[in-house]
Amino acid sequence: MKSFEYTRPTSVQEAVQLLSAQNARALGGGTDLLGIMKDALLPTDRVVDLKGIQGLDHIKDDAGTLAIGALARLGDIASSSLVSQKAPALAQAAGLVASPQIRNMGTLGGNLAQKVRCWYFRDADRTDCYKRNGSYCYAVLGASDLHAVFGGAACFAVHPSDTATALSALDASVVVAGPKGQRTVPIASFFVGPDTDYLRETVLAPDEIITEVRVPPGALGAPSVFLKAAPRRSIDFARTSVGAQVVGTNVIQTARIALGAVAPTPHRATKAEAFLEGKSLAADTIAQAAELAADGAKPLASNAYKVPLIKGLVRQALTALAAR
Amino acid sequence: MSDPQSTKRFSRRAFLKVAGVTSAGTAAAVSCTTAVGPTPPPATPKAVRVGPPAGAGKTVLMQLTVNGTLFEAAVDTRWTLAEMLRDQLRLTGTKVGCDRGECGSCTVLVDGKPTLSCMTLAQEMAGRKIATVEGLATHGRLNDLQQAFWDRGAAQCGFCTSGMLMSATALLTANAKPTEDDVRHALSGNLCRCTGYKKIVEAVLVASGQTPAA
Repeated sequence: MKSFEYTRPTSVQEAVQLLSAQNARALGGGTDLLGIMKDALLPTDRVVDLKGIQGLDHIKDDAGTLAIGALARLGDIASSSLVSQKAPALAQAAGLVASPQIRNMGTLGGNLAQKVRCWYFRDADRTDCYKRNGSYCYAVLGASDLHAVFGGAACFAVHPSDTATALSALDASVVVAGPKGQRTVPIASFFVGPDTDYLRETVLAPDEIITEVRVPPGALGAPSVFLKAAPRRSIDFARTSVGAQVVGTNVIQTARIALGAVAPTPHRATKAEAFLEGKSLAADTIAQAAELAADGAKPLASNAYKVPLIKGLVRQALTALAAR
Repeated sequence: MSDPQSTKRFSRRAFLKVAGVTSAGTAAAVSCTTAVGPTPPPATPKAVRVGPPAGAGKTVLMQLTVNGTLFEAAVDTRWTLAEMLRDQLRLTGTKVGCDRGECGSCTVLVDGKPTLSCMTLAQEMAGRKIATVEGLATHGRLNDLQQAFWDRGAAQCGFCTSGMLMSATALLTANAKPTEDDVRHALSGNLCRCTGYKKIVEAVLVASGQTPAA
């Protein structure tokens, strides 16, 4: 690794101030950042280790809202009985991230703010990749197995986060702190596609950090589920994932279906969601919703397999919810 | 070395066994040659001082406990915990495979939790308690888990073994009678490139006093 300045602030204010320097990067569990630094994918002159900040690793019921600190470990979220009861999709997603070791290290904030896992971006030699401030996407003419079937533009890397997919189905909000104070961003507008800015994946400015994730009362307690398809059951990123929640007994009032690893941001299957409202989860309704979930998909040369994967996972997810 | 096993027959297994003992011995040697600090105040454990590694860049002085020994080490600020353990404390039982957090061979316990030492900055470890494979045996005698690996032939090339042992150690501490599924789940972050998972899982079950299904 190239040399860098290591800082360990003890408050959020101090952290965001330290992050305002050029090429400063926030460190949570390190399972993403250290790889980026070892391969020198992004210039890093200062590391701001957030783990010295007390009180950012809570998992609690905050007057009916599920509040999880950005430094809460994925393993602790997966094994939390509160999360399992109130927001099962999130507990399932956290428990399916990577490996036990990475779940012991990785934080919720880091899982949301991680960089993409495109094999061209992660290849140290591909310095002209859009994500590395270049002007080329190798996936367009190259191997696009991992890449987007929705929403690609210039860059076709997908967002790799499992928890982002679950939290999108749970209508969560992300609390962000910066030099000017705090703001709360609905998860649907937290992630940024390449049509907005291909150099980043979220609305976070370089000197902003996630402090908390909040799941609202309306999404808590209603059945939810997260499913993930990957070549290996462990240590692997999703090739496609789905987070789904239906609110309403017998007749569906609200349905949220979020797809992961198929677009540069978590992708809401809005046509399928609208189709489900006012209906019940009968087998033929589920089958039609699963078809609609893949509506608008535009595969690249080698990722058409994601289309039937989306349909199959959505069918499985809704079938699981129907059995609750 | 002092292990009577090694004088009998120098098989590959015996070599591996002795190699484990040797690295523990090296750590002890480090403590002898580098303990030159002033006498600390009473009630504070005496830290073993470790100077900067050869060719180090900027270093930071920090204390951490490794296998029960308190070290005060001048750590290269760019180094990972794996680099510090192997190249500075000479605890080379911890292996570095992918160096990207994907294979689990560098697994150590940080405050009891399986952690990837290749994806952890050494300087983050100030004040933490690290357990590595060298800490499992006592006086050259394998512990029950290591003995079960030995008896079951749960090592082929051996590169994943120390990581497997550390993940299994954390499992058995939390769950004295794990099911086979529990074992497979606990070891799911450790890759065996020889694909010898069956015997590894059996060995963990044997170590917990259970008889693996045939």
